[in-house]
Amino acid sequence: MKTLQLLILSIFIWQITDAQIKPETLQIKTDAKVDSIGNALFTMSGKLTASQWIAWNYMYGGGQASMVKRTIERAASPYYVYDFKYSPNEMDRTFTIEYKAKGVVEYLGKNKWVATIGSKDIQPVKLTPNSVNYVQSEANGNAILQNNMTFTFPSETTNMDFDKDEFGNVTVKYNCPTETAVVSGDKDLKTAGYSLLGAGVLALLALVALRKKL
Amino acid sequence: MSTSPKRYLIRFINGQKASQQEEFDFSKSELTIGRDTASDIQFDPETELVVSRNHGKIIKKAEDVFIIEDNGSRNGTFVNGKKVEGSVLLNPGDEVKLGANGPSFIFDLTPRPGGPLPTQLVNISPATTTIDIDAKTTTPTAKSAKFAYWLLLPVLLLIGGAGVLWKGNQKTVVAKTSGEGDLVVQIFPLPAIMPAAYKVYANPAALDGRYYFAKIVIDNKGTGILNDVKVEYSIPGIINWTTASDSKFILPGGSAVTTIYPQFPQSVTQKTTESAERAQIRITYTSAGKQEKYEKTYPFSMLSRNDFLYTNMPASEVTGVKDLEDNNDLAPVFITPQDPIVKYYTQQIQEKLLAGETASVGNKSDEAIRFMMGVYEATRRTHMVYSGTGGAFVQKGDIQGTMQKIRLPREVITGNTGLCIEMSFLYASVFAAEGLDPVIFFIPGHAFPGIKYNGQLFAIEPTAVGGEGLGHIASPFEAFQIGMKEVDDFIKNVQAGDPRYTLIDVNDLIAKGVHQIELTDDAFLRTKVDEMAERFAVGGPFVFSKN
Repeated sequence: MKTLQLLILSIFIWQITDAQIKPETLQIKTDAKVDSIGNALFTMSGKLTASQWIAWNYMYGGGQASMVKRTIERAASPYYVYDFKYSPNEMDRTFTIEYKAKGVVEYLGKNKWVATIGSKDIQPVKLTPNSVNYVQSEANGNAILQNNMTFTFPSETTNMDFDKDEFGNVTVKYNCPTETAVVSGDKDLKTAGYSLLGAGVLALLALVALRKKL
Repeated sequence: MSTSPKRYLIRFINGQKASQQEEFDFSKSELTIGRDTASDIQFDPETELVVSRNHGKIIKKAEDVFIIEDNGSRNGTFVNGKKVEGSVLLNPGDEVKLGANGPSFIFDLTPRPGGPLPTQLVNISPATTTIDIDAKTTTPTAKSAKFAYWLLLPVLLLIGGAGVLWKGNQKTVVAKTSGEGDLVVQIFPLPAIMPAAYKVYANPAALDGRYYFAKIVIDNKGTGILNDVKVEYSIPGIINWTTASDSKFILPGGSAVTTIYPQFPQSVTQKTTESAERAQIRITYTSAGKQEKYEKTYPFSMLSRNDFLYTNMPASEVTGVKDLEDNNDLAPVFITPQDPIVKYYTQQIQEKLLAGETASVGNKSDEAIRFMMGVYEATRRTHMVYSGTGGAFVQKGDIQGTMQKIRLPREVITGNTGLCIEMSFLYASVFAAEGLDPVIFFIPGHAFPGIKYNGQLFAIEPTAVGGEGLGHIASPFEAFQIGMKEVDDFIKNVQAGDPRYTLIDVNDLIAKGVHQIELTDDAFLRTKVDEMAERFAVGGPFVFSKN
């Protein structure tokens, strides 16, 4: 099943959790910005405990940044992901991962779009007319992964609503001008209009100045 | 209507007579000019010395034709600023100046007859009423009309500008896409297929869809929309043309990603040899109203049903042992609790060796451990030996790794021999058939089976029946002790973060879609199991013992 959830959580199904002794909560924040042609930029960030940081670095630190890329690519295999950026902060034990994914939302035609989130048990809320948020917890060995997820759709989005697909997965449907766009004004016409007004004012001033000679 | 003049009118502009005027009867045929007292137009003989005594004269040639003659005066005569040489025509209204800086006057008639106006009316003194009257009655109207005419230009420009600006600010609907789409395709194929894992390849949900047959990325690099983009594939002789995806639209700059999860027929599990196959990809689409087609064929290896390729990782990506065993998650495809032969074998162990005891009943781990040791005892009584095929280093496309011939549990039972991984698969199959929760521990160079029971891990060393490294046939309890010691070492190494120590949870992986190879019943193999079972019975029911 190809759902956006694959692009978010799977990277954290990491083996370090098998090695953990006591239950710990891993909090991750993910922002996904969907563009007007259905591609998206994902930004994931998290703060780890000392033991998690050691295990994380064992996998991804110290020159192993390419492993982050590989892990995401494998976890999100039904998608095409690219343009990776990994920024660990050793002092704060925090990290940020950025990557892009192609074709993450589907265009249905007539300016209608649908994004399949891929979870049945989430309770998404609208943050703005074009963004949604939900929090999802997932037990992973001894760790509890808690993901705070925000999807932001194009700014022209309207009529955003939640639905479910045939399998009960949460979907987000929205409208966004795609094949046509409402343009507020024609640049060339505006330029021509301002030019004519300017010429008119100049002509009027010239007439006033020369009226005695006429 | 013209009127006849009755008198000459001389209006002095400057000089002693400035602003004065003199009239003469029009019957006179000439008017003399000078300081002489006999002159008609006389100037002051004492002060206006620039004027000669007989300076000149105005002669009437006809009723409306006059000339002025200079009598050779010392300072000359000027008409309208132009010096008179001899005589010149003089019109009413012309200015006559005597000497360059001398006195001047306007020659006129009263009433003035119709005819041409003097050339330089505007320069005539304000005292000339006729000219002023003409100007006052005609110029203001003309100027107003001219001004109004010119005013039209800025007004029209301003109105036009406002109109165009209003139109320019109107919201309009415009097409964002036009022209033709441009299809650009990337294919990411799997270079080798393990028939035993055919159910995994068919399942998009298995292991997050990681084991796809091919991933196809379609980008639209054009300016128009690609419509009805259908991706189809076929594997000649194995899978007919099948639709993998059907996208209504791919927008300019947009993409569609298709992952192919083919439904291989069960017959592929009968393959006992590796073969080279071809995959065909066909993409049909419409661009700018035209039907277009893209086709590609590429080769891949179809391994035999017993082949287990330990990794799909490209050689350039391998970082260590863990990457070389990246396919361990596929191991459950060789764990076959549903195999009728394995079920029958498990049933014989219960009946002939354990005397009907079942390990899954009750909460005590002792029963589970006794069942584990019972399986070991069954292999010991049948003199199963630890031996098998070794792994070979192979290259499949950009994959380099170990491939091993894995005998299926039914083949290990009937062949009565197996490698550690094969015995582990057999034990896990029997444990699962019994209702236990099997696991397999992978450590460097070795694998051994175990179970999860009430949150605890238990293991047994199946290769203790004899073979490399042991030197003797261990008792079931010894095999269990060895297994538990290996579990202790395993946990220590995992906690130390050694990625080479991994565990596969068979039921968890099955829940994630890693389903076993499907096998049919076989009467001959049942007979072989019966022969084994006869050996179980020798020695009587298995009783838990430390010896």
